[in-house]
Amino acid sequence: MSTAKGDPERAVDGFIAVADLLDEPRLARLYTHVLRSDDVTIDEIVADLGIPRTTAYSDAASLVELGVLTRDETQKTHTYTALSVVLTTILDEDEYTITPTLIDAIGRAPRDPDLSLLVEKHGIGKLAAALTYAIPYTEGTMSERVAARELDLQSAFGIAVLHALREVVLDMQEHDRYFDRIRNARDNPPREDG
Amino acid sequence: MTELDTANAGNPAWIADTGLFIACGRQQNDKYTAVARFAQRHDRTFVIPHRVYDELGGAPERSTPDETPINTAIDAGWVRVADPPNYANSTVATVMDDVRGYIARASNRNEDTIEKADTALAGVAAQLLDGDEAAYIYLLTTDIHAGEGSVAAVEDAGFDGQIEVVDGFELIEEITS
Repeated sequence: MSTAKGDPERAVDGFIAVADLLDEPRLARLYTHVLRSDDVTIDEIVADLGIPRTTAYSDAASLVELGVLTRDETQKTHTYTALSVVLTTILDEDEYTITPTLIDAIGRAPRDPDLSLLVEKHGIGKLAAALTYAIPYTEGTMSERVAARELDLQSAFGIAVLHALREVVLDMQEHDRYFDRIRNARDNPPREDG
Repeated sequence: MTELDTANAGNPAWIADTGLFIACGRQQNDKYTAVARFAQRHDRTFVIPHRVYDELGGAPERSTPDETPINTAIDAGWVRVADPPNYANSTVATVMDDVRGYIARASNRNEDTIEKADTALAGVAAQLLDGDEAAYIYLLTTDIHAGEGSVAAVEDAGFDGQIEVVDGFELIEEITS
């Protein structure tokens, strides 16, 4: 994903790669793990994530094929490095920039009772929206109950979702080079008609 | 937590917010036992606004707040539900109004989007201080921003130096590590 700017082939391939990550939490989890660790071997991935070696090999190969991981084959033990992905989607007047932080949230969802319940009940779009509140919340500039109400979630459940995403934000803000491009709900009060 | 171990004044009260119980339950091996032991060892009762009790009880099935054993904690005596805020008490009403304004400004929203119930924590704090039921308040919350608003409003109402926020995440980490 490092060819010339304005390359339509790269843009569409990138879109498909991000869509695959959003759709497959197992790949998302591996991707952001490599992004945070940098230069990791399959042995390390197996140990850190507690997944079978065959799964680690085939998932890493899928991510290399998608163009979001690179494999360094110059050394005896191959190492993997992740490329930061960023995708801005615009649908009519609605815009959202997807970065590795959202991908990390998706990767955690199956193992987190509150995030998995959120995705099961409201879909990935709601997870993406909740992340825009979790960012100012973690910074201490958004109140829990304001966020829960605007996300249209029962307050205690909304707070639990914010807590889950706070861990994502704290873990990813240093590693996601596009972190600042994620929408911040503090700057965007909900529309009057919404 | 050191500040909690040394009461700043006689007769302190600990008011706990919804997020404290959720943060507890979200830990890998849930930490209610550790928090219960902490409260009991220090002979403390965590006071919760009725709003907090309702929020925990109204959470969707399978969510962390739904799994919170709040009734067990109440039965065991380390959690107590506060009397409802008395809006007729002008100190309580003023504090709650001030907190609304604070939350709105800090979250960049209009004041009319902040519900009175959002200020329940501060209301209970003002009521305990005003009724001489407590001389010092620890607010245990994970909503730091709303917690700070509560402190500012309670201090402005004439209780300067009688209230502080305790970060719920830090507290849980300390007592369970």
